[in-house]
Amino acid sequence: MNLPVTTYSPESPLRNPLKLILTIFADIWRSRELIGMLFVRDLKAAYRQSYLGYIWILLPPVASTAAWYYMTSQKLINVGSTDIPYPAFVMIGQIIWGTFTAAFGTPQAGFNGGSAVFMKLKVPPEAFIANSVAKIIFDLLVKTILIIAIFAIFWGDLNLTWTVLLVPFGLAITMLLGISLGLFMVPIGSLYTDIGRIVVIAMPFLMYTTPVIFPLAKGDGLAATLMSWNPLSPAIEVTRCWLTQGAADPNLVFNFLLLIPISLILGIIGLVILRIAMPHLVVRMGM
Amino acid sequence: MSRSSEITHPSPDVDPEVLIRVNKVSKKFCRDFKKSLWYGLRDTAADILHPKHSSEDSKLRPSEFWANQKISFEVKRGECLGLIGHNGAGKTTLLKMLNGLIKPDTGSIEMWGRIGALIALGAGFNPILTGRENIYINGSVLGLTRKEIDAKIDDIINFAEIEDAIDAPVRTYSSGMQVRLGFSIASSLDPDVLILDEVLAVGDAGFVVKCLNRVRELAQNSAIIFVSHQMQYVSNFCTRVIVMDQGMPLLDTSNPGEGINCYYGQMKFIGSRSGTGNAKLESFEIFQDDTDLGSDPVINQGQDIQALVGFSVDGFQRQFIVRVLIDDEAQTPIIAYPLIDYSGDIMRFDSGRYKVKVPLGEIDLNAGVYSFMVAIIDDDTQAIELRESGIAPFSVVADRMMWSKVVRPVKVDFEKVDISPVENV
Repeated sequence: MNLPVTTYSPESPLRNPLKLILTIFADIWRSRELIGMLFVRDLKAAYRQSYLGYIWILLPPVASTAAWYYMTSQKLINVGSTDIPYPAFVMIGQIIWGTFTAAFGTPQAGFNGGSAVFMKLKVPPEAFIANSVAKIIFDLLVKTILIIAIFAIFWGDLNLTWTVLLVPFGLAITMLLGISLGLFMVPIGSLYTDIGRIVVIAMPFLMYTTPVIFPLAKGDGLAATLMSWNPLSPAIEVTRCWLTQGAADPNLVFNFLLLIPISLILGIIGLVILRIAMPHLVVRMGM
Repeated sequence: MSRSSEITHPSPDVDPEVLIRVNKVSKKFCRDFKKSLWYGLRDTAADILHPKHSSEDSKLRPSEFWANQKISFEVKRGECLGLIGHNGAGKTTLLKMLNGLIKPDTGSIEMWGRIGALIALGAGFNPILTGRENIYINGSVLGLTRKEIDAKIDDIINFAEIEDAIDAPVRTYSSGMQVRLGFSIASSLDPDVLILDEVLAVGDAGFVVKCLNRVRELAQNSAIIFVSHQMQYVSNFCTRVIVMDQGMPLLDTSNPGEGINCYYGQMKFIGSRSGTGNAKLESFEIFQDDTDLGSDPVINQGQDIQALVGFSVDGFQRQFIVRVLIDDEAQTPIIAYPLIDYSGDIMRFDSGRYKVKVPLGEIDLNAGVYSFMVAIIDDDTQAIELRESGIAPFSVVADRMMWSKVVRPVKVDFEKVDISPVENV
């Protein structure tokens, strides 16, 4: 009889890094049905106790766009001039930024959501994270309604070209970067709640150094320097440009594309670290 | 996952029946939570930064202790290993390692074939979704494919006896229904290695019997590790017993009865005493045919014993009644011995010192450990002057463990009323 053997020993799984990476991806592939079921489960459960249902996905960007539009139109603050009408600028910026923050939070959210299960049963935690990622994609699909609405309102001021086809690609890179960075937070963030609190405080600052609400700052002031070094600036700027204006600044596009290999490498490292940390986390969280 | 190349083990082909092999496994835990978080971070970092470095770590850091130490055993197909021990003996830790949730600090665990675990029944049930939806999710969590669940779902629902409620949200289920559904899903796997943790402790009696039969079915084809505090189950199922104490195996025996006696022997009776101080229990001795059996006596089931109870009560013009009871290991009263006089009335004592001989009769109790409880009560006001439990613990031994508290073998007469042979089912 040739039964598969399962071995548990004190050795670091990183002794054989390539095998570890392959195991992780094999586990995710094996869990594809589980991921699908978890996704449907959460989707069904999420809005069962709600009147407005999926409208809750749309309300946050609408509300914050309204707030920023109010502040700028009443001259309470001055954000400078934007290439496209300001409401469209903010709305689209918010949607892309929201995709990043959701992606960044998704590994921890998925991990927390599944911890009751994988602290007790041998289930790959990546399945729960993947389920959370699927949720972001779903939210994004719902949010295309807003984008359509923006185009309907500002049709004359926006320029819809073939580059709109690149938008999903841009969003995917943004998401990938968010997930990769978020993966790093899980092992420490699960042990120490300080991490989560720091993120909550730091996120708005990061947003103000990204051209979400303000256009890309020019010159060599502090804001301009921060924005030019911020890896998210090209993500937002290029994706928004592809959507509303056409071809984007080649320099920015290059920086943006650079994010792909960086995110992929970071993402794989993040997955590996999470796998290595898992047994140590279960001892601390699940006993 | 396959074996790491440095460790050489006999290949499973040499002895194809061994499905679980645990070799000198130890695990340390930290009592101090903040330190434990820090160690967790350091251990993770060490695994990342020094992967080639031997992580066999047999030294304790400050605040650490061995939750499991040097545990070794093998379980073959068709065998059932009972892990027993008191709370904190390290059973859960060992189960978590067997499940691969935490990794050992020393030693190794190898298991062959499909691994099933009947623990955490219903983990991941979503209360808002229906039972049917939850079967798919839970089954998938346990590693079943959608197709496999499709094929099994009717059996699962039937076994759980919740046909009527299957399309209602799980939130509306009673806790018993949830456990039934959880067991039904988890037990629909056909594992080679099966890990059972206290799964039979829940549910109503009827369902427990069904569960036992299902487990017995699974047992024929798998190697089982069985954790329970209920010795009837251990006695019934296990072909071998390991008694754990403070993370270490205290006894490893292929005679479950011996293991169970050892487990009961470890039991510490924490006596409790309360009352007004007007009454005092001075002595409590157990005799058999006028021989003092001393402390912690072992009594064969069916033996006749007596107790000599010495006590004093104090109270002017008052009368007291004395109650003697036998409690089981959970301090549930099993037998009451009302003390009566020759006319059949309850015996009343004036103030003074007494030595009372109490014939306890034939001890037809199930194998296990028991202790006495004595209460002295004011006959008039019913005030409890003294209540003392956990007195003079003793164990009862028998060849077999029964499912009841009292065991009374009876001789029967019978006549055959039908001569036609009963068909074999």
